[in-house]
Amino acid sequence: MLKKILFVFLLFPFLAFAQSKILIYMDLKQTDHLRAYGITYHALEKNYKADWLLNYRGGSFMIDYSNDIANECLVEGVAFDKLSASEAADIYSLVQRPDNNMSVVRLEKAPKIAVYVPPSFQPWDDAVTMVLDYAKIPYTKIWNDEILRGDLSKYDWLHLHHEDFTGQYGKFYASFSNAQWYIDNQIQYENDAKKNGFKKVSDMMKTVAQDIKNYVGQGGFLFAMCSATDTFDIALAAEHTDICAQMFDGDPEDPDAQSKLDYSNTLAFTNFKLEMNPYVYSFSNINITPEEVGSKENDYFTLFDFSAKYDPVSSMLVQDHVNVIHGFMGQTTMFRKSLIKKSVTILGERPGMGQVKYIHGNFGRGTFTFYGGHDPEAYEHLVGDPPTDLSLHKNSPGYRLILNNILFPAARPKKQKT
Amino acid sequence: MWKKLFLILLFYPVILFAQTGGELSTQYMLAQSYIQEAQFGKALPILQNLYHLQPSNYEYFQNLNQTYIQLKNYDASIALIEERISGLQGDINLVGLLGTSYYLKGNDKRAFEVWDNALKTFPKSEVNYRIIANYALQLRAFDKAIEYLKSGEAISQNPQFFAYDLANLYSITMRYKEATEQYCLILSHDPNQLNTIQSRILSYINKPDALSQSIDVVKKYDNGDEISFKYLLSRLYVQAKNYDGAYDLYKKIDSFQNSQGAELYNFGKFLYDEKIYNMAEKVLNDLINKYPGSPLISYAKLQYAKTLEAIVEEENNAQIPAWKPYYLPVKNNSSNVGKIVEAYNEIAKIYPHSEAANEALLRIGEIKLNIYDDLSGAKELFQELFTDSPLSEFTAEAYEELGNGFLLKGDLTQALDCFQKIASNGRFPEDKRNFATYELARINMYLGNFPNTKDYLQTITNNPQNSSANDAIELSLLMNTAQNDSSNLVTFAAAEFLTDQKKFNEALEKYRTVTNDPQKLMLQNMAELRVAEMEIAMNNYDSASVQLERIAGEKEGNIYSDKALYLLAKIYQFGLNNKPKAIETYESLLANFPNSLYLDAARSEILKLKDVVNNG
Repeated sequence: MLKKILFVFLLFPFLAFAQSKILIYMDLKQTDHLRAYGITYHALEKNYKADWLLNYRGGSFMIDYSNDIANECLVEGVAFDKLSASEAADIYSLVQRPDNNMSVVRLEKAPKIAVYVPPSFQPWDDAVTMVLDYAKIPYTKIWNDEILRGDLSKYDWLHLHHEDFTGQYGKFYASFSNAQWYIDNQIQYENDAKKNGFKKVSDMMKTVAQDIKNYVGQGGFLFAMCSATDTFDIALAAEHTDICAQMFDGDPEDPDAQSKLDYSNTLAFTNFKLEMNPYVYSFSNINITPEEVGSKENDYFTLFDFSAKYDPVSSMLVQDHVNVIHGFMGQTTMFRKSLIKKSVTILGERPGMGQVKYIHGNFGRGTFTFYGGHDPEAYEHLVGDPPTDLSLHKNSPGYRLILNNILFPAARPKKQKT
Repeated sequence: MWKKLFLILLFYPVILFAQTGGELSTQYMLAQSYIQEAQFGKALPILQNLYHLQPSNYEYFQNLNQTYIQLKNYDASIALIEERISGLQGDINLVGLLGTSYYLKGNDKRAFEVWDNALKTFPKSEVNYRIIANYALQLRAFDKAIEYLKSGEAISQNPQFFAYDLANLYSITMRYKEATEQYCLILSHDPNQLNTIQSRILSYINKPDALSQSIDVVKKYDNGDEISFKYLLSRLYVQAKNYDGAYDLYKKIDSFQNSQGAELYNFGKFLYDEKIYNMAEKVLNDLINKYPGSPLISYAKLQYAKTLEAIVEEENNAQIPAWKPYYLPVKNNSSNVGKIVEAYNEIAKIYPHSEAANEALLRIGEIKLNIYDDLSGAKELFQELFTDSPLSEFTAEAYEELGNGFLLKGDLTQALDCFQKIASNGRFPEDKRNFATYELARINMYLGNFPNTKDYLQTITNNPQNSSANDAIELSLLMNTAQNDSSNLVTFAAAEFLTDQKKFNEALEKYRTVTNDPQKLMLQNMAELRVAEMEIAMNNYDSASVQLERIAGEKEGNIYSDKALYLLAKIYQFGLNNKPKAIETYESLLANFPNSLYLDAARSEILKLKDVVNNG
């Protein structure tokens, strides 16, 4: 009897305002996983209560029922169930049971999202903007000017894609230095640096990286993919040295640049070795090379299973309908495990190979998540390749990981039990 | 002994320097190896020693300076260069290097001062300006590079000597007007550069304001008989969608070149390919009238006919209520039709028995059938094709057109003959033969020959790759489920035949007869839907809506219930222009028929309608 009373008491917050609910299930029966995140985001924008049921049917969403949301689900092709108050309570009680690795996270507000992209950005350059557009989640594009004038504090979540924070223009010099887009890109960066009072692009990028790090320290959520992950940390480590060859910033690199790296400045990586040859399309040994990745057919990574009740943050980030996901290449494809700081949580990796795809960590009052690779549904996305049509990948588990990060700042996880 | 001593004294300097030279060479190679391995610290003392031993050696100097720069020891580099300048007055390259070291040190002002002073004191030479401009360019000091090139240009006898570099610098610094000025300067001196200049200018015209600025500049240059500027300007006008302006220029070009319409033909063809049909029609018509004796006249006429046809097709597409399952044909009264027939007739006469003539005959026949409703005229024309070119790719199409014409007129025997001709000819394209087989199945159904119908359908459904397989499967389903209800099937077939003849009212009565039967088999379901479709065809939207609502209400009881709801939404959207109701109906389809084939289409229409409603 006492147990029952305790149980009802535990569920009280959910039952007190009992009403019919929309359950957007996220298991293999879901018809459009990606737009489901958009529906949940919009529900938060409209101040509906929404809960994230971690590990329940692939990490489902429970939202207060309204015709508005139900209609949106229908129009967007997102499968859902309408639940009575008692059916919803049954699910909540199942999720709360101590013997289940499940948990409920209340989503509080729709996070304000900023995406760091250059003005010349093409929509298909970036997996995050593509999936945000597909899921119809609003975001603001920002660039160096906004960051340098302190606009980051306006946003809850910042995404960086494959921008190069080292000031080496992606190290595309050997292959593309005569291409019009490369020339335009370099001019654009140089003009930007001049406008903001920097003599060299690399100096501006270091300041931008430092500003972003400060933003995280003050409570921001940073999500980075592809080469924005390692170049960000390299730029932070190279704060007091010059790692750029003459063709990038006009003067030679510091011959002792490697020994002058300050690893205490970085977020995720340590003890890495720089690739100083300007003709080699690589920044450092953080990245796992294509030769190390091996054949496309065997390129899969596994998501870790975290305790939903005790480690809800990591659990949120790995919610997916499958836990083995096909890999995908990028300028930075995966991270070398031996170079990841001990304080960083590994969320997804190729087991036993020392190759890590997806990591998460804390810095100050904020957090960062790094995800290797360029486009989860285009194995080798080359310069000039056409954009991925996400309507053909509505159930992409790789893209889901990106969207987990979007809703993560909306969450108010319960305090961990001690 | 004296002899020996004398010989040693004689060869002493040679022996001494031979040894030293070999050693220096080895040391120099070692220093270069260090440089290649980016070990500049190790290379430095060797190079310092080498330079100390042979200060006149330029390679030692250059490598030592470069090593200082690699080690970011700019003061040493400056001292080294200044020392060399003091001993070697008049070397502009040394001044360039000195400025570079000051610039890299972060002292831009001093760097520019060094260069400026040198250019003032050195003899006025365009080469000197170019050399210093290159040093500035390497440091990406574009504005300074432009300044030096402009100064060089001012004293040069050949200003165009600087134009490519200046144009390139202007374009990368987004000064498109100045860039185009430079390109025009080149073109005015060398019209043969047109293609290069055009591609350079086109590479930046999509940047903000670049196109309008470029047009203004080229217009200024296009003030004489020089054709290259007219070509360039016309290309820019086309980019700016100023087709009239481009046409005026092409007329001038054609006239200056005495091209007899060749330039106009090229322009007209370009416009046609870009789907700018009205302008293409104007250009080609002018060409035909102005140059009746042009060697290109036949091509121009064929192109003109195709252009007119494209215009008529666009007009037709705009008038057709494509959202309806069935509709009355739209009669096009455009005066263009007569011109198309005239043009095709001419082609057929000029090139008899050619594929161009065969296509012309087919097109005229289609016009006779579809626009003039002249079946016998079309038949007569097609007969020429059947007799003279039985294996032409256009002959199968002509049989198909004629077969459809006979069907429309209700002549099943003649239609059957036409489709049999296609189906039995192994040389005709496979998709044509498959479609003809399907038509044979339908005609046999209209004739009440149900076993024959099934045989034809089976031929098609045996091959799932067949392009008519889906239609055949649907008809097979009907035939199989209705075979025990042959009286209704005969009535339904008659109704379908009337529908083919666009006799929607008569068809409606027959469909209603079938629906009156209380048995709810597929035949009745289909007939009920057809009743609504006939009402839609005759614009009776109210009665169609009632019928469709009833079918949709039957849900699982009627296999067309989702299609009925989809059609109902279409009536609201296009027939009654009631957008909110259309959205509501599409949403109802999504809610009530989660497995419907029409879900994606319904979602897409909802989003479009909401966009229109929200944005006016």
